Amino acid sequence: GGAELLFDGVKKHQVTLPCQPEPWDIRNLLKWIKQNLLKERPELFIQGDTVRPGILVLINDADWELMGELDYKLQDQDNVVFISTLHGGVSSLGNLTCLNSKSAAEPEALVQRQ
Amino acid sequence: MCQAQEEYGGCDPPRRRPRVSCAQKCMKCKEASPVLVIRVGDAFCKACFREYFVHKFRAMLGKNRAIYPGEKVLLALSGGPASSSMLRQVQEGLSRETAKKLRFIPGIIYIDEGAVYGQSLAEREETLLQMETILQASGFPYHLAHLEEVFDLPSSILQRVPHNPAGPRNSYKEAVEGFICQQRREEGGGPSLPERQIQEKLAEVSLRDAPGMEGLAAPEARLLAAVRAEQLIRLFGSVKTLTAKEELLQTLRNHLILHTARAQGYSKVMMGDSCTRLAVKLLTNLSLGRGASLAMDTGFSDDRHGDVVVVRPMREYSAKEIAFYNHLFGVPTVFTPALGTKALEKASIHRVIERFLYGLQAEFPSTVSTVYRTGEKLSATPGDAGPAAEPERCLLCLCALDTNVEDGSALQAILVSEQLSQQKLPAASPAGRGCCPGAEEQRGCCMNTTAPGADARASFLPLLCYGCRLTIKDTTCLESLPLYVRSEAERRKRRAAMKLEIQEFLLEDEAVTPGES
Repeated sequence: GGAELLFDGVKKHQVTLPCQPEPWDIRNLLKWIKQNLLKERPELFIQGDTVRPGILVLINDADWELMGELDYKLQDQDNVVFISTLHGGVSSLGNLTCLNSKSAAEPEALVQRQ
Repeated sequence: MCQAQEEYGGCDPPRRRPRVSCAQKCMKCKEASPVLVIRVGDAFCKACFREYFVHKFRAMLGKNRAIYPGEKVLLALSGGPASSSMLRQVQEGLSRETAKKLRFIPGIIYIDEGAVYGQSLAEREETLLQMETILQASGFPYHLAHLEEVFDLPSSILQRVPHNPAGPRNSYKEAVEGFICQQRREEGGGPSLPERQIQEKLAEVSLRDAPGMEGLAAPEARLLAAVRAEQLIRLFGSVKTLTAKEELLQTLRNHLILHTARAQGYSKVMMGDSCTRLAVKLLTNLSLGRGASLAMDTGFSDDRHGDVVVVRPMREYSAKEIAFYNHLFGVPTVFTPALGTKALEKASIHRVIERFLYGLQAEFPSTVSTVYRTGEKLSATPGDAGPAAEPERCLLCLCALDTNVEDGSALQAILVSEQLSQQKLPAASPAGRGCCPGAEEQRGCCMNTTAPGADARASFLPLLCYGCRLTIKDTTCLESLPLYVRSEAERRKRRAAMKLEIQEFLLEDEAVTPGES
């Protein structure tokens, strides 16, 4: 429901996250999304350091509440799905497959449109 | 007692809701690992969740016993998650494999509202294409309507039709048993239900049934559609606030669905309002002054129209459960932007309440269900107009009018303060501080409320309930309302005037006192 409006109309993103000393968890992933993927109106998606109330997060098709929410450490090939339950229709906001680059790195993240 | 300087050293911050970890097992089967958390701490695995979801739908219909076997039911599909999920549940319930299958005859209606949202024709066509694939895949007869068609509705839509069921008033159990016996007889001998098949074929033929478009050639029909779209845009353009726009949109949408149901012979309409959406609606309606009709707006069944009853079978599912079900089991949805999409948070009362409830729910996960349960306790009580008299109904929403101005009521207070604030203005303008230059000569100063439009509005408002009055007050141009609304308003005004004239000749129901002849 419309969050693809915020992501420039793209539903599925395959991202390669750059190497960094701190491990990638959902908290950092959200920061990264805010900086790199959100095209407009970040406050419709992110509130503070978490997602806006009404937006569900699924990690590998499971509720993120079962995985530790913001503290979950991302693994290679993890699939993160954001679903909005707010008014105005609901559909998948964005489907992110996170590839952690194991080797040394690309400084920027690669976003491939599917 | 709390004191300003007191240190709350001993108090902990409000307790975060307990975390359920993935290490726990599904609380139902205790074997598989859970995939989602419902309510507080109830973790379900995928299979148990599916069972729970499907069972809840059937239990909802069975508990309320509202839908009799063989009845024609219209499913109102918006493309959103809740109504799409409802469609899937109906499909599953009707399929032959289930032990106790549902036994009604469904049809689907989808209303294209793209003109109101400012979508281009190409975008609307694309959405319609996506919806048609879903509709055709369902296998049920479907009806596509455009919101512009409200301008061709008959004014009988606004009249309540008393419900006199033609068939015998069986109890629910008898009706089910009778239906099963009949089916067994039909399956035993002869061809399978030819009558039902013919009915379905006929329904499928009338897909795009636009009222008022019969007998028009294609180019004329396109011209008419363009004119109607123009009228619709003008109507919504004359509404000042987003709150009023949303209310008006819902009213017009309901009228169109009702018309389709009546025209095609459906006696029930299923709407896909989820628990979360209904909780928001409950609080929003309270804020809009629609408290008197809360039971009908948020209850399971809504019979304000008389012959067509609106039921809400999804009302116990939270938005989260629906979203998870759709994602895990591949229920197709079509996204259409609504009036409030990407709007500022305080743009309308609906947005404000939604933000409030969702924000509260994030910290206190039983918020929505508490609001919902409180709403469940509401039931409609008959008005105090006497048992025989039919209560007067609002022109637009067909709820009983709640605008008896009694002493001490809130409505009386509002009307009094309105009158007081209007009486001050004529006193101010002769002092020469009028806003228009030369206001002393003209009677048509903008602060003068006796403009001709105001007269029409003043006679229109008493026909409406308080909530609808607020919506109409935000509409600048009453002429842009659809014809059926205006003609029904005229009819009611004429009847009221006529009743006043012959009042003294009418016989009262009360007993005539002895001594009078």
